[in-house]
Amino acid sequence: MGQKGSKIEITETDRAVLQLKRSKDDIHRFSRRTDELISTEKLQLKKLIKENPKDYKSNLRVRLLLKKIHYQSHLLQQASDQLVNLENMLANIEFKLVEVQFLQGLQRGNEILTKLNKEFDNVDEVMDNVQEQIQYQEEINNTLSQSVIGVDNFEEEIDKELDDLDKEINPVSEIEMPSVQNLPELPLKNAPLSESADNTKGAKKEEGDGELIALSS
Amino acid sequence: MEFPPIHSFPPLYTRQPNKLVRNKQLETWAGIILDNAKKLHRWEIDKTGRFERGGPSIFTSESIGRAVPQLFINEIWRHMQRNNQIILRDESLQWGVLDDADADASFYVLWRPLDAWTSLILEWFDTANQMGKVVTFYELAQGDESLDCEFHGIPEPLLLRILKPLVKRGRATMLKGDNDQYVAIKVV
Repeated sequence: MGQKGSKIEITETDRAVLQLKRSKDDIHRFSRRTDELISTEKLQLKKLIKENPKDYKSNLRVRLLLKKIHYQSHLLQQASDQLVNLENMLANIEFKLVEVQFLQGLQRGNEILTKLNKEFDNVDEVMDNVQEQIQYQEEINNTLSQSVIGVDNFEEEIDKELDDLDKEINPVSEIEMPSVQNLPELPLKNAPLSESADNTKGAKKEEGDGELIALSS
Repeated sequence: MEFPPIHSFPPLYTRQPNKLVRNKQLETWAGIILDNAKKLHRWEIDKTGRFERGGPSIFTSESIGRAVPQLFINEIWRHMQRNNQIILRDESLQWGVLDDADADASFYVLWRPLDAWTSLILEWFDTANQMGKVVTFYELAQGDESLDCEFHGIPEPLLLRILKPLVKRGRATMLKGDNDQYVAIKVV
């Protein structure tokens, strides 16, 4: 568009449509003219009857005029039928053109789809390659982390240190947990045992008793 | 024809000597002509101010018995020409034809400028889903498809001049009929 030389193509269909439309226009023009003619003739007829109120039935001109009017209306009817036919045909052509476009669209889409699918031909190879690369990357990661730190079980050491820190910060919970779990299993036999445990850790006595009561009740 | 009250104002019929006043006077006349053309859907006017042969001239007021002299009428035409409100009907004629008292001349009245008509019709092609289809000038001007459009009833030669820019811009091609004259257009 807009460029010089990019002329809009006139296809055979366009020519055919033009011819059809020209005929349609002609008929349209004809019906309009006939319509006007009929109305003027009707006016004339009325005038004639007014002028000859007595013998208008035997007046030749009146009879002729009425016949003409009938004939013209008949033609008008035919013309409008033809007009409808032509318009139908044009609508059909237009719809067919849309269908052709639809089909072309489908074909083009299909072509592109096949072309794109062809690009996926070496997809297995690519995926293998990618897998290999990932593995290689992991290896590199492992090697790097080991060699830089210089200690094999560094992770374990970290864990141990963290555990120690945890003990330091929360000594209570560590001791509390086993006493709560053991008590309900052996309520009678363990009574002296729990007492001795209480003796060693007097500070925790009250809380341990409280839980025992709550569980037995 | 319908006229605003000023149409019965006698000084309107005499060329005003003061330039400022005269300009206002010319504009008033242009407005009266354009309004009437639009209301009556008239596209053509002859140089005496008649929309149709034998009809009354727009430059004559029966009620006050005044008429604009032809010389001043010509000045009004030139004023409207400068403002792109009228174009000569016969493209082969020059505006100098106005100086020839015996020559006949008539104009197309453009109550919208030419390019505004072009875009209006282009818009119609779009909304009426006629893009890429062959449409005859008759269809555009007289067909049932354009009955409600402002350009319905437009004379085909004027329509041709309105559509030509589309061809120049590469938006359209015109098709010739059997008589080797352009009869249809295809807009894309």
